[in-house]
Amino acid sequence: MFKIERISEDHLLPGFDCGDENKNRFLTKFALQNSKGGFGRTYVAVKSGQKAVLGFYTISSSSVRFENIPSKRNLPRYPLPSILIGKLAVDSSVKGQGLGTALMFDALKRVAEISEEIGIFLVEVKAVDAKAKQFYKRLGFLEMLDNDLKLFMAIKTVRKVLAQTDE
Amino acid sequence: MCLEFHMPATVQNKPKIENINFRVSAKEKRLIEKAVNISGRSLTEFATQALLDSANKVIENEAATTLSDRDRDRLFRLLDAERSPTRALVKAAKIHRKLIKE
Repeated sequence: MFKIERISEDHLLPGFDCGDENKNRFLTKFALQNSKGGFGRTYVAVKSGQKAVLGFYTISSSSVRFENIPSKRNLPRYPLPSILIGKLAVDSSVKGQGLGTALMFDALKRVAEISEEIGIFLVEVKAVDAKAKQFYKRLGFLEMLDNDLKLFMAIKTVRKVLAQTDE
Repeated sequence: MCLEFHMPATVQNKPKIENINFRVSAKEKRLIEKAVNISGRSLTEFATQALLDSANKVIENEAATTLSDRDRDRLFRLLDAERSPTRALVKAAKIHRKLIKE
């Protein structure tokens, strides 16, 4: 069993290795500082009673705009409020156990909770490679045709799965 | 090998100049110099512009996404469709319950 905690000075960050240097560097050098500064909150997975970080995700607010506003009258003309699940990584030592999937779901659940308090319409993820994109597509995220990086899910889909699974 | 340049000054308000200094392989430096020669600009101008373009792109992509017309329509179609959670998403909920202690 893992516990998800908001990142703090108490967590042991050095030594985290997910195989992606950029994400390793982000966690060890910037995650805490970004979290304190209010740029993006990082949540970490630890084993109960331990300090070593075995996985993490980062969320921040974002918005989706349109190059051209829709001409149909019933569609929104303003930017859509969204939450970006910007980074998701799991330490190599615990890969293959489902922690990445569990972290992703934890992030979605947290976003659904936040959406009870403020307006959120969409959840966005960034796919760094084809494998990540496949992972997100299976979960139901919609890929774009002209934007290689971002995929989207409606917040109501997240609410639906939470209601269905009684989470 | 070392590439060294400073951020450009604008005459009006004379911003503080700071240095950026980093190392690249000899091969990378030759490639960059080749491009600099073709562009007809100085290494500093070339590198500054390339870095600023890249930085703006990263920041823009982080803070907000701007969708093309066809992606906008695609997104609205998805929202209209009232799609049910995929099997993988339902399974993710179960994995979450199994692995994460509340």
